[in-house]
Amino acid sequence: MKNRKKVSNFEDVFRFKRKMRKIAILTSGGGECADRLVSLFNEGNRLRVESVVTDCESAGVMATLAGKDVETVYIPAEKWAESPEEVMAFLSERNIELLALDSFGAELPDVIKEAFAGKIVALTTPEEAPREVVAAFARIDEDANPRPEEPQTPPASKSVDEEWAETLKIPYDSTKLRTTPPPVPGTDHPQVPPVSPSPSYGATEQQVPFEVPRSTSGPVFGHGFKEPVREPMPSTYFVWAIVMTIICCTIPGIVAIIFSSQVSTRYAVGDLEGARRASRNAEIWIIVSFVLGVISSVLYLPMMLIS
Amino acid sequence: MCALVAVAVFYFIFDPLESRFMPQCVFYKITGLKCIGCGSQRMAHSLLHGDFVGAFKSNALAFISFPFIMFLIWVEMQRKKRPRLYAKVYSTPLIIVVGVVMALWFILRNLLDI
Repeated sequence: MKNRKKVSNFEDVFRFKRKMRKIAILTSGGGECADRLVSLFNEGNRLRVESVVTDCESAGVMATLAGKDVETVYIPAEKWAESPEEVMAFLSERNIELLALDSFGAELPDVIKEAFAGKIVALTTPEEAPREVVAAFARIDEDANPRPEEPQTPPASKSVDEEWAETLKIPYDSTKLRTTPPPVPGTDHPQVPPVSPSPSYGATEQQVPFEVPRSTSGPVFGHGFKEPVREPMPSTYFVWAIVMTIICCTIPGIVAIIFSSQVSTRYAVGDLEGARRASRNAEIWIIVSFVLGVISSVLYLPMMLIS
Repeated sequence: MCALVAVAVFYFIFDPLESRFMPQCVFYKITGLKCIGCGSQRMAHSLLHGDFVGAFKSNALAFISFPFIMFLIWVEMQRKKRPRLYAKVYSTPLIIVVGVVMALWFILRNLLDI
């Protein structure tokens, strides 16, 4: 009895890339907040500072962010005032979801204020900036999906914690409930108090591990965030395989057909690499069949012409 | 596209039965058994002249599955635009069924001499 390897769970195999949320930072000055946000977020794949826009030509931010993985753009103040549609187009091209203002001196044109209503956040200090951005996204998602009204006071019946304590048969002591996140090992910074309603997180020097609330609502400016799609199945070359089996050598053609079916099985399971390999093999055997057919025809050419 | 037209013109003009330019089935010459595609050139010639009965007699399987092959070619061309359709059509069961049908046809035509 052959031992067959179990097919791995589909969810493990289809590891879709998470939706990347994009923000633009508007600044007139040194851009310290921008610098902090760029260093923090742009390595990851949840949140990204897509562009840093300044209206001041000599702004220090251009130098600070030179060489980093972010686009820095200088849009002169006149352009903000006279052709705000261009700035608007610039922002919508990049699918910007949130505008963060980091000491931005100019007045935002009305077009932009309307389009980004509820999606503008003013950054205060570099330390607070990440939290402010996360809170802003939480607000955006909250506005998009208003949560059903929850009673402010805990219901008279047992709270969830009490029920769990009962199920687990451990004594329930409400004074011991945590309201701050547990201490992160290796740091002695005082913990940042959680900002409701966004999820709390523990801050460390290097990394801010937190959950950016994922938007389940639809598009922002009519730019749909499409569901991530798998690449289409690599070509099975099936038609070619049939043709080659019929016309030229049968045996290499049959091998090509077998590989064609392998492409299909492997793709259905999610094994893209194996599917591509099988596809390439099918292609190779089709060529082999063709070449053999040509060779045998050429060898029989004298016989053909004589008979 | 041009190659297809050229091939069509070629088979229109030349009758495989009489002309000397046709590539011939090596398999038949060696073993005497008809391969899966034997008669396809005659079939093409008959089709291009509108002789469907003759085409059917030359290679019944190819004649019957001709529209199906055209459909498969169309789906292949739509691989990137309709990936879900492509995956559904070029599924393993279909490929295996076609392979089996071709093998059966191969056996059948040699047994019954069609």
